[in-house]
Amino acid sequence: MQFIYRSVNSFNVKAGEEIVRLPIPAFNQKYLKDATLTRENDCLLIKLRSVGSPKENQIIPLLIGGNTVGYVIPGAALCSNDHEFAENPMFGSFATIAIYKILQSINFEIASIPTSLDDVISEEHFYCIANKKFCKVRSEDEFLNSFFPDLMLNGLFDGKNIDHKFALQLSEIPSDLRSIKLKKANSGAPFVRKAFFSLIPFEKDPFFAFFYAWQVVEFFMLKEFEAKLSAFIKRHEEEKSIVNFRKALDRVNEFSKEKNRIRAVFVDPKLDTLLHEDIEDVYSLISTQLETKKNGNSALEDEATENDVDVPALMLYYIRNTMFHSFEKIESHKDPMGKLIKSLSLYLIKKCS
Amino acid sequence: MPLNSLITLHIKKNMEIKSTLPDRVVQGTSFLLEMSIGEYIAIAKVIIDRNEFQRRRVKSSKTTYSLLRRDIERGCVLPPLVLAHRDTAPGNVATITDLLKSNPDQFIILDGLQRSFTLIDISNEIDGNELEDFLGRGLRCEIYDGVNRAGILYRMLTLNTGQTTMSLRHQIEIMYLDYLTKEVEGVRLIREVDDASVNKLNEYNFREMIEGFNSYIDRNELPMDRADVLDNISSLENLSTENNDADLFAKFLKTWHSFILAIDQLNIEAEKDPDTYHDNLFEAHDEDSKNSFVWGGTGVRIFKRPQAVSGFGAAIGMLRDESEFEDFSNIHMNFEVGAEPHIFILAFNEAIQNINKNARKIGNAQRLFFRMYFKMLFMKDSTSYKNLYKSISLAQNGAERLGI
Repeated sequence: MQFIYRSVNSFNVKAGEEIVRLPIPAFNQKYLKDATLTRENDCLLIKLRSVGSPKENQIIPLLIGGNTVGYVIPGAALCSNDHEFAENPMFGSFATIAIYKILQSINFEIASIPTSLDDVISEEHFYCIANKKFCKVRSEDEFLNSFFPDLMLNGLFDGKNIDHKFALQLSEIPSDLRSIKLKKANSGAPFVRKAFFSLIPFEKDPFFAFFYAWQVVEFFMLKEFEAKLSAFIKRHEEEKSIVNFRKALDRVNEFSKEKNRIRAVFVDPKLDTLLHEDIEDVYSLISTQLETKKNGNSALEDEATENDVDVPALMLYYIRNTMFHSFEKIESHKDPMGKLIKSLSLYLIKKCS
Repeated sequence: MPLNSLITLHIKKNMEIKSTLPDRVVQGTSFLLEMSIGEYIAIAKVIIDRNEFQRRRVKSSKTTYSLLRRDIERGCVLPPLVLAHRDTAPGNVATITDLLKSNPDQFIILDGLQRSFTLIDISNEIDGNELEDFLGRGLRCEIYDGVNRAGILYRMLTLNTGQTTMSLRHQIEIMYLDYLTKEVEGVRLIREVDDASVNKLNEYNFREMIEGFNSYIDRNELPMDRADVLDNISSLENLSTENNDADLFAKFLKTWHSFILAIDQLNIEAEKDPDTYHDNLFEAHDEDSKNSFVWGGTGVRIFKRPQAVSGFGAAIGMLRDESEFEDFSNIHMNFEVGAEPHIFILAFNEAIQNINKNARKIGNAQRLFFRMYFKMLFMKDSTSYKNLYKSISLAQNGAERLGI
């Protein structure tokens, strides 16, 4: 398969001896010169989805340090000159490369000859086209690992699985969104991206989504513990007083308790009131059911009063325990659990950014 | 002997009419002819060369036309190729064969264009005895004569069921290409490839008018890019109910032009008062303006757009189905603006901007808006009947309700 920009108004796609000609929308034609093969290799293309169908004018420039490094483009805008970016040369260039790469990615099924680009470009998707060099990434995977929090916090998710309907509707595209400023995520673990970008938004069962989210909580708990441990090791190398060393070791031992590690994850100032409320809602529902077993909760309640900031973390810990060990007590609370997943996920994504 | 001489030799042989049958649906005559491949190639070449809108060849799969080509070379019998005589004056047995020889440019290929390309290809690539044998072989050709445009179009739709169907718009373009050379009551059609721009009031873009007409016969304002012609039963039904004697396209063209003339006579223009109006509105009013995001600063500019023509076509088609009028001549073009001209222009631009902001596909949403607008404008029971200003909000609500 070979793609040729021979014509000014069409993509000629060579498959063996045959040539399939796909017309290029008028507005893209003048940018063909820029969309050379070299430029094409510099760019990456990722399919994205949003809650609700994309609107043609929802074209979102991607910025790094004030420079445009790419665009998120609704499928409908790729083949149209009705939108606000139709006269923008930089957009035209990126859009043309995006079309080229879409043609490459479908690897032309010659048996079903498309008669126009509309046949191969999905209007239900966004297409993210970005310059690899400017983004300082080498592949689509690396781009997503680096920038998925910024995409997700602006309502964009994995667009690969077209059959999945959104279930949890984590976040919608903000109505005033004019661009996305990309900055590299601080979490390099690919499974975190996988959980948030590809699994949780599509999961219909909030309890299963909670399970995914809790893996990420555990990941942050581990990171907190590792930070504490490395601080202790550093101190161990420098500490001369055995008494002080012992005290430091006690603090590490204390921190290693699950509850304390969870607290560390949720003491972040970014913890918003929405998450706080959602945790309280679920907690109050299940704790009311368990009033008769108050003794079992006393420790939790005592601790909860120690420090207000810690309350949501401890409540969440309690919800987690109920979820994993007494699921029947929580399974009727699907709606509040769904709300909690949404705010919990957004909080954790913010922590990744 | 060179190819052209060989073909000429074959033309001299008499083609034979084997059967003549009346087609009662399209009210014409169908002739079945036998002729040599050489004769057919001579005719097909003229048709393809002279008719710039005749579809180009499809270079596609190994499994379709290249297989066909191999079969032809091995001597298979081709299914009859179908041609139509574009002049509606009925021919007869004697004249149709004469016409084929003397004026092949009066014919169009309804079905079998890709087969014709294959035949021409083969004749170009072989020579000597092999070529002579090939050109002398027989083929069957069916010719429709005395059929009006709607009838030919109807036949095109029902016949063109092969591997690569033409789009409905393309078929209509072929049908109406002679309007490019003649004026209909002062209306001039301009083709994009002519490098001419549409500047005068009586000038319209050929393709845009074709799209508008397409929307009329299909009762649908959307462009036909994706539509499968064969699935489009409704358009066939619509066509079959039209008066077969009518030249619908000319009537459609005249009706749209009379609408534009009526709007022009109302002198709707925005006042240049920067305190009251948005600057962009006046930029769009300027001939050289590059701001394409404001719809229009005058009445004519607002309506002389492809989306408006398509919406008009679809709305008029629907109203006709609802028996709002019997014929294009029953549509009366007397309107009231319904507000101060600048208020009307401002409201119209705001409506379009609102559509643009929220549309999943802006072009389609604008077409839907115009369909609703013209329905409100021309429907006698509408509260905004003949009122240009009142129809705006009703159209916008309607379009949003239907989903843009």
